[in-house]
Amino acid sequence: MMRMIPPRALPLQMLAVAAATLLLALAVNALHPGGVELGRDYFQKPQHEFQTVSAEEFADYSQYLYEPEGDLVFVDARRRGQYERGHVPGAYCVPRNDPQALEVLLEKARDAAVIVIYCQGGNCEDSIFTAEDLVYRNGILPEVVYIFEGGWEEWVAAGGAQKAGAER
Amino acid sequence: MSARPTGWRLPPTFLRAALGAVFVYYGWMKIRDPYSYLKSVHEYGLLDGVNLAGVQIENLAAAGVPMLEIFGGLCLAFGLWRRGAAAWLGIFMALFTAAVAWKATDPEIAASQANYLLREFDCGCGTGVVVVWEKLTMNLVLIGLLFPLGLRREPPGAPAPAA
Repeated sequence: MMRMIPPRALPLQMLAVAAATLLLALAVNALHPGGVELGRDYFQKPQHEFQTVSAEEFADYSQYLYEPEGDLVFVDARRRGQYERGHVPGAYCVPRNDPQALEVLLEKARDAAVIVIYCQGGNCEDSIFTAEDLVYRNGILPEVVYIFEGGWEEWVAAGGAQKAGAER
Repeated sequence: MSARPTGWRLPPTFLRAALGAVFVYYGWMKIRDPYSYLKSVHEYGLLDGVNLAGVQIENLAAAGVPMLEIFGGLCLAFGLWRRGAAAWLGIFMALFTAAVAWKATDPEIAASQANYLLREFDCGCGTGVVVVWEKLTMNLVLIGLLFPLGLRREPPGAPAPAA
């Protein structure tokens, strides 16, 4: 039969665990290369000045993603798990804070005439952050970068083609 | 009540270590990519915009919860502050389980998957896409194990824990 827990020992232990966890969490977060900034609101949708494409234009572009000339690039800025569950066929998977994926994209993006970036849709902001990464930190011309603001949700709602699994 | 024979202690000790390892694993899967876990927390919308003294509570949760699982799991495994760790893990597991059960009712998920228990989605638990009934069952088993293996006092005459 389970014994009663002493009234004082448990709260003290919980306090000790909480304090140690908090200190360790702050230390590891500060040292982690991908650690989060505690005071930053990551989900406040930033204003942007990038060009946008409508759902119709997005659908038109999507027909040319497998052209061998390859001067059109689609970028899925959502998390890898979301991409693998379903993405626009031919899109590159470039989640935020994934330098390897960004490097793969850059090899292609430097020669691209049009780069269309999308994320989940609604108030998602990852497409804007990825566009900023490309243009402000990697020298891609802003003239070739477009954002599909409707995102994945609008694409699915419109019956757009989907592909699951890792692709690019 | 008479003391139990000493032979009974090995399986609970082993089970407690295994239980601790499960939490360490869950925490490790989350802590590898803090931003991805932050997004998972954000998608629940429960802490959206909550700011305390300049700290976004979502961000603090993204940094703190994985560490609680890792540190709490290690405490469980090695017997250091075992009951305190088990209590925190139990509280958070109960909250997460309720949140997962609620998240599975999301209209966007429900629209494509009618059967509640068979719905599949990424719960942000660090293990990718889960099936609702499997995840809820797993969590309830873990909570159930935390009480006998983590929260109970050492039996009379048992050797002191490692710490």
